[in-house]
Amino acid sequence: MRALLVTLIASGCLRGQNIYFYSDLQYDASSGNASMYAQTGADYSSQYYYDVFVYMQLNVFPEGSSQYITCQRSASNGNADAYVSCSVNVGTGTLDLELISSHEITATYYTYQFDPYCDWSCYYWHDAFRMSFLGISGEVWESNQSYFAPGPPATPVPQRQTATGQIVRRRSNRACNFPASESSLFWQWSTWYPYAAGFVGLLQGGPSFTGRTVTEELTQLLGDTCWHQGSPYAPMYIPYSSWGTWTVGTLIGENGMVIGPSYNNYGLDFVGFTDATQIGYYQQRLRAGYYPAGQCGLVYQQHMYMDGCGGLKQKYWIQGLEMYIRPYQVEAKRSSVSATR
Amino acid sequence: MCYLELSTFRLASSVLLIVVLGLPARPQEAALNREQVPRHIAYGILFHEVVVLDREANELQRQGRPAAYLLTRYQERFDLSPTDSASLRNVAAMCMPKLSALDQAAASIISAVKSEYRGKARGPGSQVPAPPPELLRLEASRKETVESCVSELEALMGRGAFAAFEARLKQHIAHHARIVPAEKSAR
Repeated sequence: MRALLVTLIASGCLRGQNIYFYSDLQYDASSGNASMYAQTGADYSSQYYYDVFVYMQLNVFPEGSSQYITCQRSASNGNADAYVSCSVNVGTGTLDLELISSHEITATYYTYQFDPYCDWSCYYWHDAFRMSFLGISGEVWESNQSYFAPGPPATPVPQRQTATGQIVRRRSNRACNFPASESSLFWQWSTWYPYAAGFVGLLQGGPSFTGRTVTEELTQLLGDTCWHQGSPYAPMYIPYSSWGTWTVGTLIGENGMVIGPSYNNYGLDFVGFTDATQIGYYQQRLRAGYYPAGQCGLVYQQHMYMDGCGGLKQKYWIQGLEMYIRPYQVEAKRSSVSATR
Repeated sequence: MCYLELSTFRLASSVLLIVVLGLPARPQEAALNREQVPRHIAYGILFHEVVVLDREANELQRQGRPAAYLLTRYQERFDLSPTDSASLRNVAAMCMPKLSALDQAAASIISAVKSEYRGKARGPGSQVPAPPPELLRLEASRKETVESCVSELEALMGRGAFAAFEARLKQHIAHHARIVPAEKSAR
């Protein structure tokens, strides 16, 4: 699975706005020092309409003694990003850390109570800060058209609409195991890309790795051997942006839906090609004998990492990724397991 | 976890270059919600955190407490050489004052509008005017400044080391940052 950050594009009038929440927890198990940072950020076009707020606290769970809370910090800002940071020594005994950060963006607007003896029906909703950005449009409620608020003796009553989010990060210095090896299992072909094969990663050397994060780094061993001078296509490659991240214990399909729990397994990891037309073009050339090897494609080395509980992630496995086009077939191979169609 | 997690497509294709360059993604890509945080935002977050946590490290050192783990944090996280780690911290330290100056200029414009429109009675239907051109210019300047700092960092690190660093940064940002979907976030 991949953790993705989605650029915020406001519908309607406000283009290019970016509002983001970010937090980070550093923990040095040898000294017991923990440092954390949290930020609610917005670009100028967003700050123009909204205020930002951030709060964080560190929950410490020492083994054998009571939980406590430290590094409670908050910051708000109407004209700039809001951020907080803190460093604290939590000791070197066995413990678990949990950083919770709350992030808010708030639009402030006013209703005007123009008749002190009326209740809700006597307010005028003044939408000065364009609530449409938050998915809410301003409305006007008037109980009597002869009153035209705002204006004396109407009283402005501040109202707020808030979008909020919370991020939890955990670290621990408990003993942390890593897989001894990994094997692959072909699961299914993609429904969107007919030449992309979905694989499941099977971890060996438990106990349980459930909930741990697996990431990959790729090294190209063999560039696009299909490409030739005059090809209508650029050389194929796997961009950095496609490097994957998965959580052990749950299989996720290409549409983001959970396929199901799967003990000590992760996936799906899709390997293959996106463009069927391009495949067809190279297959025609293969059939015409342009490639003496009878196939062409790409080869990568996949370096697998797992998060290190409280410490750094660790590389636990290296395997090959191979993608070949043949005259009448395409092969996607992960480690020693291949899928052809 | 609180961040959005979706399955990944790690596919070889020249077509993916189009996505990287920011041209319209195909419907499948959109369905995967693959859009990434803009580069200048990612580096803006990083530079700010670098400077703030370096400040924390200095404070720890001043108190005689261990701070080495903070000073080497990016070296370990992004697998940087000591020289490249120092370059990152130096570029961030050099970049942030420039960004702060722009932030202050923007803040004065934003502050003036907010104080004008908050807590004051106005006629029905009155709305805050669209952001003034000067604010948008500052926004563009901020982006250019970040990109300029990034270019400087790339020059110091060298193309190969920088590419590997940037790939790890993207992974880090994807794991540690989250953006609220606009239309669904109100409550």
